[in-house]
Amino acid sequence: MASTSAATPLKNKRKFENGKKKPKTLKDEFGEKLDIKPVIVPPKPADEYDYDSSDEEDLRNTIGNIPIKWYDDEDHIGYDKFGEKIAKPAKKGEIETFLEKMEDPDYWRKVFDKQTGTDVKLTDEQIEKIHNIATGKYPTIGYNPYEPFLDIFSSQKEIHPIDNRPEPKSRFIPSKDEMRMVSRMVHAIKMGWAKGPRAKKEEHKSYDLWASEDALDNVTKSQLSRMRVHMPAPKVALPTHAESYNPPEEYIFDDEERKKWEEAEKEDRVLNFMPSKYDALRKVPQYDKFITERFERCLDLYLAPRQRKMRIHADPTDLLPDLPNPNDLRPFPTTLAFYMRGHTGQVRAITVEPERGELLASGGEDGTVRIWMIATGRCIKTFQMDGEVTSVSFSPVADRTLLAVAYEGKYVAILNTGCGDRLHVQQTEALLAETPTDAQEDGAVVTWRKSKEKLMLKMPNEVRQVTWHSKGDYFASVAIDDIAKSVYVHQLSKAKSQCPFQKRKGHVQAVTFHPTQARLFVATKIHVREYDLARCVLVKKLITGCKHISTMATDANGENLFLGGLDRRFCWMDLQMGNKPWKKLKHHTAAVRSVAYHKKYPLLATVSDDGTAMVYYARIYTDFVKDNELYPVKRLRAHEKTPNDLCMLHTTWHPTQPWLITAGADGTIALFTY
Amino acid sequence: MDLADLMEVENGDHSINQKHVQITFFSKDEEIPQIPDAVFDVPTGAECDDMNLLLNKTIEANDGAWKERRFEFLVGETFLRTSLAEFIEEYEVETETILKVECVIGIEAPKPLHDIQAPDWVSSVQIANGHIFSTTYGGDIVIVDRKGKETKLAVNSANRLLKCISIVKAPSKKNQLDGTEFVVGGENQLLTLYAIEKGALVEKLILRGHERAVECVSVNSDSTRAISGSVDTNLKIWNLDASDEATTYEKEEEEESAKKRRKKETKTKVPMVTIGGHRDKVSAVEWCPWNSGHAFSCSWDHTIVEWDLELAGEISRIKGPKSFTSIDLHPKSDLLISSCTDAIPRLYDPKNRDGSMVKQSFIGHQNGWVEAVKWNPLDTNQFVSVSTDKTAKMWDVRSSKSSLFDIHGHDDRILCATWNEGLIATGSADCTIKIFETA
Repeated sequence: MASTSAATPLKNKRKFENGKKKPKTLKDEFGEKLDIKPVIVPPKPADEYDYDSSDEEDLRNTIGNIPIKWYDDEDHIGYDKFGEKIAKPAKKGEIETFLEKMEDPDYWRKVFDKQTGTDVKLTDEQIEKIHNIATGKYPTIGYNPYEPFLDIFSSQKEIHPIDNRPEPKSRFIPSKDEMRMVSRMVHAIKMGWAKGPRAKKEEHKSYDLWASEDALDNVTKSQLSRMRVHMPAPKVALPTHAESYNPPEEYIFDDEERKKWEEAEKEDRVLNFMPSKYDALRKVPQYDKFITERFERCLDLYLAPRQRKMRIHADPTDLLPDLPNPNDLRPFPTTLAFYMRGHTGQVRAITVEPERGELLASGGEDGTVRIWMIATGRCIKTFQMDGEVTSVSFSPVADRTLLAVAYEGKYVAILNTGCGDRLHVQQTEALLAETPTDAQEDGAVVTWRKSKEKLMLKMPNEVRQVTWHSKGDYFASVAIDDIAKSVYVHQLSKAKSQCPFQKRKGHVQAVTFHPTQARLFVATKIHVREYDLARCVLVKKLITGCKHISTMATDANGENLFLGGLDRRFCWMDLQMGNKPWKKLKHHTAAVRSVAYHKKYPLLATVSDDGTAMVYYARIYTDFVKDNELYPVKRLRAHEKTPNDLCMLHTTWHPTQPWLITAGADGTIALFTY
Repeated sequence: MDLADLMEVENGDHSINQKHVQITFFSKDEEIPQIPDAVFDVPTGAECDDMNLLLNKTIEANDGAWKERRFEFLVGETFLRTSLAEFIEEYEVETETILKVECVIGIEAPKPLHDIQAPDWVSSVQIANGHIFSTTYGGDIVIVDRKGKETKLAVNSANRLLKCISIVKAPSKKNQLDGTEFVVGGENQLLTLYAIEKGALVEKLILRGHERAVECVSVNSDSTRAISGSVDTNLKIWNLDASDEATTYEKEEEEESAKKRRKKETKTKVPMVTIGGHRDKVSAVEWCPWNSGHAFSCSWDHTIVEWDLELAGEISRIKGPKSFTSIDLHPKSDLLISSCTDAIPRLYDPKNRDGSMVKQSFIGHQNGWVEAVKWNPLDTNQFVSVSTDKTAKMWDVRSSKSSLFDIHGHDDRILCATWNEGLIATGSADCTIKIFETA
């Protein structure tokens, strides 16, 4: 404890010494007293010398710096200089401590010192210092943190300089180093090694007084749109001769015209002034209607709305479709080669033998069926029928020389032509002989019988058309009458006929078989129905757009249907594109009598009562990427019109050549080649 | 030049207003002597007769021995038929330069000789040994001699609907009919070899094998082989030697003596070779003139094919624009003339394949088909063509835009023609055979 109290006064001494030195230095420098508050006087050193208790304490415990706690388990606390144990001070008991506390008034001042083992009594100064530390104040008693500020320099002005040393000479002489550096730079510039300072070029700036007018930044949206769709005002009409000061005589009003002009309303007048005549320009008076005219002009410009009229400059050739050159679509028939003569009266039907195309069969109004050689037009055989022939059809099987003939008297005959291959003729004779006509059912509507090398079918009604199935065993017939049972399907190998329909769906005009499937196309006057013969159901009903269908044909695959009508219309039905026509044409001026499609070439022909046959290039694509093509390429004229306005009645194509054969009402058959 | 001056003097009053053209004459014919290289100023109104007179006088001035003859004039590729003015206007000839005119010895027009009435449409005609042989669609065989006298032959068995005829053998004696052999074919798929013996028509051979009507037949020069074409697209080669047993079709001998005797005389033969290469009807066949083992055929499939009959294969094929109806080969010039189902005969060179296929197209017929073409065997430049427009035309191959002569007379379509021994015979659908004599 003494050491502690000894250290504290030392610190205080040092601080006070600093305070003392400062005023002394100030006095010594300037020789005057400063106006400063008085400093607290430190305690006297004599008091310090009066105390020797620290020495006593040190002497009392001579154990050195060994921690006391090492001797907690021992009865002594170290050794003295003689080596003898120093005994521990005696511990006070609780009762003794309590009694000291009650009786001793300085008990609160005592602190136990472990080093010496005795109680130390604190002084008042020490207690105040501890209290300052506990309350956060400065530990030094009497310390003033707000000492007045002492300037480092004096504010008093002196007449003498502080430093009396004179300025050296080098302050007044320019620097040699700088001079050397500048010389080096000048030399480098002279030698071209370095560039001098770059002269700043002044750009001559020209000001545009009207720049703001050209720029579009200041323009509003309405002004922009007005510029974009600028519509100039309509021009004033130029003056005419009547407005001259000396017009010709015919422009001057006479009495009648003047009266008429004066009586008319002002809005109805053609001229709003009266033409007058002066012989000299100096005599022309002032125009008294000038103000009125200008006002009306401004009124028109302000009130009359203007509208931009879009005018399309379309070249008529651009509106037409791009058609190919007909010469690129050859071959198609272009010229009439010759006529085949022999029939008297109308030639109503023609048919060509399949595959070879050497023979042509024709049926006419004279009740004959004739076989012709196409190469020369020679008639080589004639069959006499008992009535007017309405339809003939060669069997599509090339191994048979069968010909189906429908003629008036309600008969259908199956003939052996007897021309062509001898072997095929014999085979056909055997086939006809084997037909089981004797095994017919009783009460059958159609009766079959043999009659010297031909089969005769007695039908219940007059037959309009007879057509073969592509396999050659079945053939169908259509009656002329409008009845429910107008269509019959006949089977040659069994000599059997049956009617596939029980109800009337319309007046049947034509039937045709599907080339590859077991289907039947039935054309009434307006519609075409497709029936599945295997399942006996209606597959499709086609809306044709024709008013009166007269003829029907299919292509080789059965996916397209060609229809001709008595209302001059021709329809192409693509059966894969719904039930509406793919194309409708009206190139004829009279009824279309027959339609034919070629098996090898993409050619289509229609014949009509107007005496012409239209030949079309008709290409069919099976894939759906490409569309079908139909171009009219040639109009062929032949045959003569009869008094009842019939001309061409039937047509067919040669099976191997692009030749067209037409049957005429004048009794001739025409062959067209190219 | 003196003659030109004379002509100007003669036309003194008219020459001022009339147009003139400068022409020069030349010739490739050896018969014509050297024509001087003079340039003549000729009025455009001059016609063939005037130019003939001018040329004859020019040659006579140089060559005193020259006798006056008639010339034909070729300008470009066309014969001059009208006056020069019309010719220049029609063919747009350039009159600024000198017009070069080729001179050809004039050919006399064919003179109508006979008009023979046939019982039916005439399907084919042949001329041999002073006689005209023809077939009709009614199955008749009409034989007429040069004087127009028809020979009535007793026919043992009449075939039906004949289409073609070809002479197999002719007797060595002139104008004799006995010993003649010919083969005919028709709609009944058969070819029949007939011989004329003692004024009677005897059926010698029956050639059986075609499936459809026989369209054409041809016999080679040594009379040993025949080739025929049919609607069934096949060509068949036949051996005409009766003693050859390999191609004979044998039947069982019957006991009846009458039939036995007749059967011995008539034999049935099958073809040696069948060639199938065409895809449509064969319309004409011809033996090759320069190679005895080759033959030519044409078809409706737009082709003309040369065949090697020993190998039974195809040598070359010419594709045409239309279906062919007839062909003919010249025995000397080896050129092939053909007709199609249009109005234009076409000239081909089967030996030379350089350049274009068609050497020449002869334009002159009207609409319709040209049914037959035939060369003149005595002249390499002339042929005759018949058409469905009822006319026959005589052509020179040097002039393709106009024919030499137009032969009229038939009332209906002409179906066949032939040219041999200085005679042209045409058969028509009006049941007549017309015979014309050529120089």
